[in-house]
Amino acid sequence: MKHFHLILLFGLLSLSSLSARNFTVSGYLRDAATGETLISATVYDRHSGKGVTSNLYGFYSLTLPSDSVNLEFSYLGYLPARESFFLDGDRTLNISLVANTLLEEVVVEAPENREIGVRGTQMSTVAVPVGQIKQLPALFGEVDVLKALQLLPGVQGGIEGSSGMYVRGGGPDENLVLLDGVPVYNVNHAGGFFSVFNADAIKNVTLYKGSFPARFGGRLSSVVDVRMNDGNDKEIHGNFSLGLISSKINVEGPLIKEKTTFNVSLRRTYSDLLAKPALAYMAKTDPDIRRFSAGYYFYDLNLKLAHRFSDRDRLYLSLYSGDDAIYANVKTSDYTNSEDVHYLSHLNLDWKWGNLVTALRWNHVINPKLFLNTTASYTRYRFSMGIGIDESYTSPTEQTGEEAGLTFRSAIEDYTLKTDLDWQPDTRHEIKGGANITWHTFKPGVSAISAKERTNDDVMRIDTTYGDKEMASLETMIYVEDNIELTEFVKLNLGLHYSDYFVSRSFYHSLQPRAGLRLLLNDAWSFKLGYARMNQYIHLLSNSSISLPTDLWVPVTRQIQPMHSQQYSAGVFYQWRSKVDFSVEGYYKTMDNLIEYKDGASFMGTSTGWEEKVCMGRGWAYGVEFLAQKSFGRTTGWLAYTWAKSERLFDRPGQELNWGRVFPAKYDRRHDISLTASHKLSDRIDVSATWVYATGNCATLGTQQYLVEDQTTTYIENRNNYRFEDYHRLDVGINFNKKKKYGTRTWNLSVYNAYNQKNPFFVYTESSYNPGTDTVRKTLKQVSVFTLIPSLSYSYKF
Amino acid sequence: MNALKKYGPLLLLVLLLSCEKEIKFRQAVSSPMLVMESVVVPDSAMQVRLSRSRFFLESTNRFSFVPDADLQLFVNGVPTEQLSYDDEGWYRAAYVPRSGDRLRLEAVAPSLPAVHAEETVVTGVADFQPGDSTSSYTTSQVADYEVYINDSLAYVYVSRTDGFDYLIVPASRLPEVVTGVVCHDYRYRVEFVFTDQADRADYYELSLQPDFNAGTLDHPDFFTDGNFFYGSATFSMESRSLRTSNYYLDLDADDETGDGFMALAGTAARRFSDEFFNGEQVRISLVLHLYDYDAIDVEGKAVPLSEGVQMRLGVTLSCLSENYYLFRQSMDSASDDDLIGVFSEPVQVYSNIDGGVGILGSYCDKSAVRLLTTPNFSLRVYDPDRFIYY
Repeated sequence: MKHFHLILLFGLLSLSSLSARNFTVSGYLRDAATGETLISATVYDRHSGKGVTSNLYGFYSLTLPSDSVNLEFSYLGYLPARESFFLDGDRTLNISLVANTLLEEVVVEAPENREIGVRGTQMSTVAVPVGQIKQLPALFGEVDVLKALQLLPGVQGGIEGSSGMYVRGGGPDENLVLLDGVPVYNVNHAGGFFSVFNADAIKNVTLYKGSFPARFGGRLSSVVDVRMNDGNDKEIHGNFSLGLISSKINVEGPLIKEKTTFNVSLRRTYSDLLAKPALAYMAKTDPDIRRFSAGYYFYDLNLKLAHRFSDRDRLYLSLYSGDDAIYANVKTSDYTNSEDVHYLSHLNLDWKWGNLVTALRWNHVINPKLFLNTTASYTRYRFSMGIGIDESYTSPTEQTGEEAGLTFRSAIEDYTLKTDLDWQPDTRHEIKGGANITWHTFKPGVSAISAKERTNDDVMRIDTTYGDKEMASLETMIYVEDNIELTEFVKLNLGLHYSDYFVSRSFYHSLQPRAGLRLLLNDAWSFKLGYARMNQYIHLLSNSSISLPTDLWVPVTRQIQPMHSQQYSAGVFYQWRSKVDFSVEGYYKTMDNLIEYKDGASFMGTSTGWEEKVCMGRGWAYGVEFLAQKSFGRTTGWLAYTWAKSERLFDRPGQELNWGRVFPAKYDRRHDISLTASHKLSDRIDVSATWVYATGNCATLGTQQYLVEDQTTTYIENRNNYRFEDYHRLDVGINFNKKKKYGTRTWNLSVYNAYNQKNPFFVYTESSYNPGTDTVRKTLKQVSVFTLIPSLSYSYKF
Repeated sequence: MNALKKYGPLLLLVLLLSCEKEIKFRQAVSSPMLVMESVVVPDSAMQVRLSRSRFFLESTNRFSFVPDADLQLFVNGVPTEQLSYDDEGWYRAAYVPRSGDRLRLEAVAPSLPAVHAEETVVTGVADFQPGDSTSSYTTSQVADYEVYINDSLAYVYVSRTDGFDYLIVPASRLPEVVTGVVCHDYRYRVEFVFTDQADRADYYELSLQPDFNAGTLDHPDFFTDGNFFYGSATFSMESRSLRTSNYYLDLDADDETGDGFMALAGTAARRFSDEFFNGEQVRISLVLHLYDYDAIDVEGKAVPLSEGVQMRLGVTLSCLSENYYLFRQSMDSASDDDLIGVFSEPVQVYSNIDGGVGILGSYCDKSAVRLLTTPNFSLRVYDPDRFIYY
């Protein structure tokens, strides 16, 4: 009944849009220099006071009454464009905006974002300009998109240096990370210290923490929408960068001028290459070593092709491929006292894991009011590990040998077909609808063991494969949402998201209403309310604090039901002189069917019997977030403060944790502050700094020991009862730019943790026995990583 | 500037390497608690141990017992006895528990918070009886084997389709020329039956105690446990409402003598509740899977590498109170936690001691014993198909 009322209201509001003699202005908004489409740019008619925002593909559609119009097109960091005419029919108007390189605030004020700013209904959402992210100081000189998001209110990082995200009290597997609309399952390189997103390939990053638009679903806590650059359609440009641990190159340009573009980026770390000579030297100087190569690297390849058939049809092909690899190849020989007898050993290690994400997208403008986007996509994360040992013994009379090998493989892959419609019937409605069908295949851990023994001509062999069967599931989703302007002051966003999931003869479905209300108090102030219900059908099995490649995604089962959450949020938004945006938001989130690992449970890459190792319970999180953001001008940056609390209760019979009592969630932190600032001193020098402070992370520590059954046993009063010391850190960076004949070169010097704060990574107890006094000294030791780390990089943009 | 040039790299190195430091425990230091431990068995004298917990950073590895506590026992709500201190923290009671008695212990000790705990003495399994038993074996020639002789010992490696085995036998036991090895693959299936009591939650522990008679071979260091090679031990349960698949009994094949010989040893236990067979008769099937080997001499005769050893298989079904069941389960997890280390969740060991920590639990054993004997396979004739000379 409740849902029926919502649908009825939705229908009535839609019908109210029928009006007399309206015409539509539509088209694409682009960067004048590159042809790159501009996402969330503003189109505003000063005459009628109506406006819209361009969609994810730069398309806008504004329906106005037949009258004089005075359109202003604006986008952050660009000079606005204006068009005035009498609207007496539908009109296509493609606008190219010129980037504002003057950076003088007095010349251009920052345009408002009509979707998420003071005027938009969307709340709990932050768009971070990629240019701003690139200016931040970075660990090892590698700018990281996800780490930049950790600096926003409501987002907490995991352990030191990690790019894990905990949004509004949710877990790390509750974030939907989309690359050009396609989920990326493992967003980390190197155990989580780098994300898979190469900032050079990225056009736009938007984080949704609550009040989710109906088009998103499948995760409880956040959506990170990352969009790749399409490519310059005028001429070939690019840049390359050489850093301490990695280098990257980005090239973009037209294949057919103003028709077909490409954008390709490649990044690779080279610690393995740098170590090669040292290992070769070791192999050369040690007579027992015949071959010695070992190392770790990761690479990312981003490719995007875009083709414009006409103003109405465009085709995009996106590809991301990235792998991490650890390898070792060690051959040793050991001659005995006789030269005729020797022993040869060969160790071969080969670990690889990574994502492949690809999407084929067709944009079609059905009519000026109706925009269709259809996407077929494939995403896969896989992990494989191989270890091989080969030992042989040779003498004049005998030749023996042993070979043993172990391989482990796991993967998850999705095939998805989805379609999205944007419909702008009039200036009061922005309707979006769509459907999505995904075929998931889960390939849990499969191990293969082989062994061979040789004695002269005899061979003994074993070859065995075992593991879990593949699991497949079907997920479908439909949604509809309307952004309704009831009056100039009251704007409403209503949406419905329906999803269902079929797995192993179990069927789950969920209707998820979404709502947002904006009350515009005056030009500078607004008050917003939001509500969202979310469902999640997959879980990530992992219980370590760092992201391991062995972490496994598994679907819900008959026993483990889908997680769901409800989030209520309210906030006040203020824009000061069109220069600085302020917001204060409060939220309350409940989460049900959460899973936590039972006491003592461990996975380490096995999915066998995982249901027995977890318990289900519930949680809640609430907090207040403050953000002051200046995105435009010589000085940019933001100040973010979060006060938050996140708790869990696992009290279902047989599934109790912490004696069935409430306990803090693993990353429950009371205070988080981040201050980020970039300042352009001149055309040649710009500086940036980031300071973060956070309450220490939780850990479980048994503080009493006792004797029972003659065993020393640890008493743990509460899960997550111990707090690490507070965390704080200052990063600074400086860029020296210089115009050269063919482009601009930049030297970047960054210092991570500039005042060398020893932040806790983990804590352990150490005992030392003194036999003289027959006493034991027990101490608590804190291990820190990433103390002061300077880095230097060189880049050249052409 | 010169100093910076000279000491700068050293300073940088120190900054980068100084990653570990001793820290103070800044949270409130928890006070010691009174630890109470008692596991009550019907018809056996009751005893309770009291000790004191210690702060985890305390400079000692010893625990102190509490000899001066006032420890009161209440049975079915009636004050029954003040327990008297014996030794090593143990207090003895004159009271002998009976199944169904409701016990309450209250302890007050100087400078420690008072504790109390309650428990009901469990009722044992009424009719735990052996059922049918069958045994079967198959004999097959081992395709891949190797024999090495080193002084008085012979090392025999064998490879089956399902695994390896490694035998060490006195060299004198081997035929002069080994032309083959055969494997005897034994499967003993033993059934036991019991009836669960209706209308209450029961918790069980099934344990298996294999016991071999003394070694019969002449080398003093080997085969004291008999000369079997352990395959696996599994059990399954069947009742009107329940049919389980095979559960493994983690009966480790331990290298007890440190000589590489893996012998079946120890006690395996598996705990379960009556959630799925409340009030029903339950049939437990145990399957023990063992191997032994014969060497084949040049005439095709089999020479046993072991002798027909008699094995005594003890099976115990214990009825546990809920408290004791939860305690044992968590203790097992805590012990696993030590092995798994940093990648496992920490374990809160179950306690039902209010105001303190420890366990007041109860269990009751019911044992059934089966005798299993391996057949004598010696002196069978096989066709030799391969020869190895030493």
